[in-house]
Amino acid sequence: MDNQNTPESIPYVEFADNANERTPCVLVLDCSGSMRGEPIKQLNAGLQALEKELKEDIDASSRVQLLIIKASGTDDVTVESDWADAMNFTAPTMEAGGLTPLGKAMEVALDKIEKRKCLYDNCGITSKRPWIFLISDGEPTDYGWEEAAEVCRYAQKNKKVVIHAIGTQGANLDKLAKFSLLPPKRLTGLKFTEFFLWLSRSVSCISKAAPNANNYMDDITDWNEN
Amino acid sequence: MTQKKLHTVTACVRGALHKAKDLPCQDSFSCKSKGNKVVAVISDGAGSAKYGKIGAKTVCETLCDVLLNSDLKNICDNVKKAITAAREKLIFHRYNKTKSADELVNFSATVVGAFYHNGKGVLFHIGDGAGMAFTSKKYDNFIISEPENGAYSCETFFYTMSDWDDCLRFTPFENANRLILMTDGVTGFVFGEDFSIRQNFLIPIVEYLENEKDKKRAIRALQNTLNDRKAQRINPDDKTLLWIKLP
Repeated sequence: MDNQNTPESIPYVEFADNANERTPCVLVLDCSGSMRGEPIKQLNAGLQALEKELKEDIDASSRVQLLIIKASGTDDVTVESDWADAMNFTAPTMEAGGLTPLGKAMEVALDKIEKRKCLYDNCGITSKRPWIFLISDGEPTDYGWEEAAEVCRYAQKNKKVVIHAIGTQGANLDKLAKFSLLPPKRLTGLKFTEFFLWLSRSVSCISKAAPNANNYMDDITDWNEN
Repeated sequence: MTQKKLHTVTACVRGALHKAKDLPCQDSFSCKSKGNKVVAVISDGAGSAKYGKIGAKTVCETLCDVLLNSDLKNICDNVKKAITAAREKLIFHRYNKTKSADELVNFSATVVGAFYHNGKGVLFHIGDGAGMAFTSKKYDNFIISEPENGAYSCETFFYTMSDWDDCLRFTPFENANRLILMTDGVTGFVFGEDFSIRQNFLIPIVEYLENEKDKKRAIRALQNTLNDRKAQRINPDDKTLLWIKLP
């Protein structure tokens, strides 16, 4: 008999289902000096809630990818948590101090998104349009932030990214608005946890949506002041 | 001078997408050796191209024939000459009605190849898929020629494009003990993020191939593995994986 003993297939081989469509989401967080005390504490609590909520969502945990960028110091922009599937995401503990280089932080966010898109393409992974959430309690302080904001709006106009600007109490919404084609939102009090739970629900819905479906955004009344 | 034996196993399977449309596999491969010289080429004919399969087969065969008579010193020039020759074959192919380069788009195909001679070699590459040269017995040291795509996932590069030589990449290697070439139907299973190797796909395959003395059994097992229902569900593309244990 021909090949009677041929194994059906090679044993112990696993096919990783990395073809899951990804939804990349970047959080650009203002951690300047004015966030010291209760604001940074609430921000950290919100990030913990985001981690827990996404990990409990079986689909979103393998589809949503998170990246966290911190804007603080004199002109310091650091990637506090590099790209990770939500199932592997660990909320970093943010510390406050210094100024608010939001322009530079948004440039880093766009660069990281572009590189991520290349990686998805090279690995044959499809992806949803990336989201960037810019969250600040003040206004950009870095030189050239307006040019960076222009680049952000251009990227959004070209459908490379969706940018949401969120300001807490005292934030200059007029300046934050320059980073996005969408109107900025104002966080009620320090409702970071409510905001991040909303973010988890919304990004989860987007990650499961059919191709070309309209972006579904969950009800924002839990955290939005207006 | 004694020559150690060269072991090669290749599986080329039709993807679920082409099965469903009753179309043939668009991937092709060729592997030839002479003395301690080895040339291996795989190619993925574009699904969108009417004669992608012909484009893939032509470039594999032409590169192997030409490069088997090359030396490492002139390998870059000779790869270019061989691809130029493959393009000329397609220009005069009977399915190319106008006999012009404009119609080469109908034969679009990628190229992933390797040339090896006396301990040194080079990977050459246009488009997606990947080539690997392992430089240690374990799996932690390897040279890789990564996939290259355009801005969107549906765009890659082909040797049939007018600016093909701008997309041609060379990656030299030495002291390699095994080579692996694969089309894009397989890369997602092999690599994790940042092109680290997924432990539970490539390593069991290589271990099996290196221990299986019966070549027919090895080929059948590799075909069955790439044809696995789960693999086809995750990625319905055609799949080619070529493994060479170097002397």
